[in-house]
Formats: sequence, structure tokens, C-alpha cells
Amino acid sequence: MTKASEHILSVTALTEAIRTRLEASFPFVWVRGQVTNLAKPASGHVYFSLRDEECSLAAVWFKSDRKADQRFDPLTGEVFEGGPRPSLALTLENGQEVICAGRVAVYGARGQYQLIVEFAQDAGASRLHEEFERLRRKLADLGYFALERKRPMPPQPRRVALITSPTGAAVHDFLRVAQGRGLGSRVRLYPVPVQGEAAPARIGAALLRVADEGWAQVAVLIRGGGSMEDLWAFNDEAVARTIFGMPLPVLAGIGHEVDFTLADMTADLRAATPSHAAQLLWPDRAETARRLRVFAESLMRAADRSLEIRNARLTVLDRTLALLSPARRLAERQERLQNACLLMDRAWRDLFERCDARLQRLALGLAACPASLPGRKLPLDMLEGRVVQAGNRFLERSLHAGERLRLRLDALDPMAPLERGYALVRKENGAFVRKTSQAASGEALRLVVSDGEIPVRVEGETDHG
Amino acid sequence: MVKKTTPEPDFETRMQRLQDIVQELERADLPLEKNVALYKEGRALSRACKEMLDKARHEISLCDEQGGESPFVLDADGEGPHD
Repeated sequence: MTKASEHILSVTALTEAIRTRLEASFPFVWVRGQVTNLAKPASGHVYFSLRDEECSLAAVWFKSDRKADQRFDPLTGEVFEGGPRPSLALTLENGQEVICAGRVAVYGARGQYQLIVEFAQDAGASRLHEEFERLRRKLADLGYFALERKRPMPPQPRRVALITSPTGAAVHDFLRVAQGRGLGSRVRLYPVPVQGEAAPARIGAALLRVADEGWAQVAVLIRGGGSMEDLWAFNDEAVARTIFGMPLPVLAGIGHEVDFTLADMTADLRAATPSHAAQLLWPDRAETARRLRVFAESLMRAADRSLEIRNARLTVLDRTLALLSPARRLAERQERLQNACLLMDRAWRDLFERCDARLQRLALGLAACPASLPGRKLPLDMLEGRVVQAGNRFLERSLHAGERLRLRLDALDPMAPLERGYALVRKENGAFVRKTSQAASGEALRLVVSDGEIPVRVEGETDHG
Repeated sequence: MVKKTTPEPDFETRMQRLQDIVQELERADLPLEKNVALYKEGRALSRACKEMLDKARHEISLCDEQGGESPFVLDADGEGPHD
């Protein structure tokens, strides 16, 4: 069994338990309330209470938890125009409505819980932000920001309606940048207040006037940087509606890079700043001049090249013409004629020389002839004798050979043996009988003898030998 | 009031024509007379464009509530008026 005393907690233990629960449950919270009991002791910490109709919450903003100044709005992310702002801790006042962010902590010594503030923000700005979000959603639903309805800027606009304050940094920045751009345009400045209560109506009226005049090619709406409150005129629903209904393209450059107003979003084109608006409107004149220079150089080059090509062609044609000219052809033929004449001369001379040489040789031969003729007679006679002898010998040899052939032929004559008493037996059909079997009994045969034939008949049986 | 547009071709039209001329000149088969004529036209365009660029100044006027118009000038130091 447990004793009741075991359930009794010390103050510290309970406080610790509460601290654990509480701090774990609310590690970081946003709280909205009105500042009361504000105390700013010399320590630099700021003590106050946040209250609403029914409750009150102790809060402390330690010096270590805040920066001396603030560069941007922690709620909207807006970077403060004109440098960092002093922390709200310095300007906090009783009765001011603020939004605080921080964690809930238990201060054991006093048995209190309190909010350790890490940053605080005037609630007014937050209301603007909420209002902005509400309008943004509404206008988005109406199609004000639809990309498909955005019109392109006219290229190199010559008639520009500028709607802004004539005494702000915006107009100065815009015109300074414009100086180096475009080709000389007419800019009509429609002066309007760009902040304050009258601003939205005046801006709207100026836009309508530009639309009515029908003079401008583009309407430019600009304003320098500022807080969300400063720029609020450009988040006015009526201004956005007027921009939406403009018959000509609208270029808006409100505030800085980070500032987005409903006017910016409704316009056909948004410039980040007034200077940027001038850049978007006109091309850089130096760049245009550079483009022109490139064209001018290309023109010169193209013309030069074209002439060079023609010149080259002309040179070729000129040479060809010279080659083909009658004078040239005449000279060529003259040369050929001269060559032919030379050749002919040489040939004639050669022929003449050859004939001459032969003649000379013959003459020399002739001259030598009479001396040798008697000497030649004897050998000639001898030769004649030899030829006759040879001829006779040849005839003799031929006769002998003929006789020998005749004797051999005689020896082969089948009729020769008949002279010596032999006979040949032939059948009626002329075939010679060589065997007994070739002659039948009673058959008529012929015996061929040396001087003729004797008809005979076979008697009896043939005797096969 | 709508300002009547001058019959003079604007800068971009001239630049475009100049570009076209360069392209045409780069064709080799153009008759010489045409070539020379194009070159002359191109030179004239180039000069005219240069002049337009040299003379280019914005003309700024302030429109008052009553519909009047007066020249709007920057301060002597070239700075616009400030608040």
C-alpha cells in the first residue's frame, strides 16, 4: 500500500511537472493581444501583459532575444525600404495591438507562466496583410491575374503615359534610365499622389483619363519602395479594377523587387522597380547603336565582297578574251606557218643532200668502173662454164633416177609373171579366184594369160586342198 | 488628341529594311546596277538610323488637372525632383 504522503508533491516538483507539460505543449505559439502594464527597466528587457476582453497573459521580451533593429517584416517577409527599422521593443506602447511569437514558460519563483517573446509585430500591418490576401484571392478568382489576358508591350513605344508622383524618387529613377533608352518618345506625366487616402481615387482617375484620351500606346504606373502601408493605394480594389479594364497595355513598377501589389499583378507587365519599368519599355540605345553598327559593317562587307566577286570574274573573262582574240589566233597561225615552212625547207634540203650524196657515191663508183671491167671478164666465163656443167650433171642425175624408178615399177607389174606362164582366174563378175571355195561346179570362169583371156567351166567337185 | 503618324518609316522599319538589304547584297547573282542601288539605299538607311539614334531624346510633359500640358524638366544637376 502506498502512503498518502507519497502523493504529496513539493511545490518545486509540481512546478516542474507543470513546466514540463506546459512547455512541451506550447513550444512555439503566436498570440495576439493588447499591450498593458508595459515596463522597460534599465536591464533592457521589456515586460508587459497581453490582454483581450477576458484574459491576460504575462510576457517578457528579453534583450538577448531581439535584434537592435529589424530588416524585414517577420510576418510578410517585406524588406524594409530605407534600411532596417528600430525594433518594436523600443516603440511598444500600452494599448497597442500586437502579435507576438514565442514559447510559453513557467517562472517558478513567482508561480507564474508567461510568454517568452521572440518577436513581436504591430497587428495593424498584419491586418493589411490579411486584407491583401483576401483581395488577392478575390481578384484571382475574377481572372484579373490570368496570364492569357496579358497584352504584350508595344515595341519601342513613342507615346507613353506615366502615372506617378512628379516629386518622388520613382519618376527620377524612371526618367534617368529612360534617357539612355528608346529612340525619343513623348512621355506625358500624369501627376498623382501615390500614398494617402486620396491616392487610389486619383490614380484610378488618371488611368481613366489616359484611356479616354486614347493618345498613349502604353500606360506606366510607378511608385518607389515603401512599407506595405505606404504601397496600399496600389492594393486598392478599385485601382485594380480600373487597370483590369484599361484598353491599352499597362506596365506597373511598384516598390521594390519584393513588393507585389494587386496593381502589379493586374497589370499586363510587372516591373520590379520604376527603373526596371523604363528598361522593359525601351531597348538600350547603346545596344541599338551596336546593332546598327553591325548592320552597317555587314552592308560594307557585302558590297565589297560583291565587287570582289565581280572583279575576279572580270579578270578571268578578260584573260579568256585575250586568249581568244583574232590577233592572238593570227599570231598562232603565223607561228604554225613559219614552223611548217622551216620543216619544209629542212626536208627539201635533206632530200637534196641525200640525192647529192648518192649521186656522188655513184659517180665515184662509175669512175672506178673502167679500170676493173677487163679483170671481171675471166671469172664471168668461168662461172658460165660452171653453171652449164652443173646443169648437165643435174640432168644426168635426173635421168638415172628416172630409169631406176621405171625398173622398180616394172617389177611390181602383176601382168609380168604371166609372161613366164602364170595365169590369173577371174569370175564372170571380174573378181579373182583365190580359193577353191570360190568356184562352184559348172561355174564359168576366165583364165587371164599374157596375151588375153580363155573362157573355162569348172567340172566336178572342187578339191579342197 | 491623336498625333498623326508621319509618313517617314520608323526606326525599326528602317533597321529591318537595312537587314534585308544586307541579305540581298550577299546574294552573288544580283545585277550590278541593282547591287549599287541597294548599297546606296543601305548607306542612306544606316545614316538615317544613326541620326535618329544620335538625336533621340525623350520629350516629357506634365499634364495638369485642367487638361493642360507643360514641359517637365529635371533639375539642373540632372536629378529629378525629390520629395
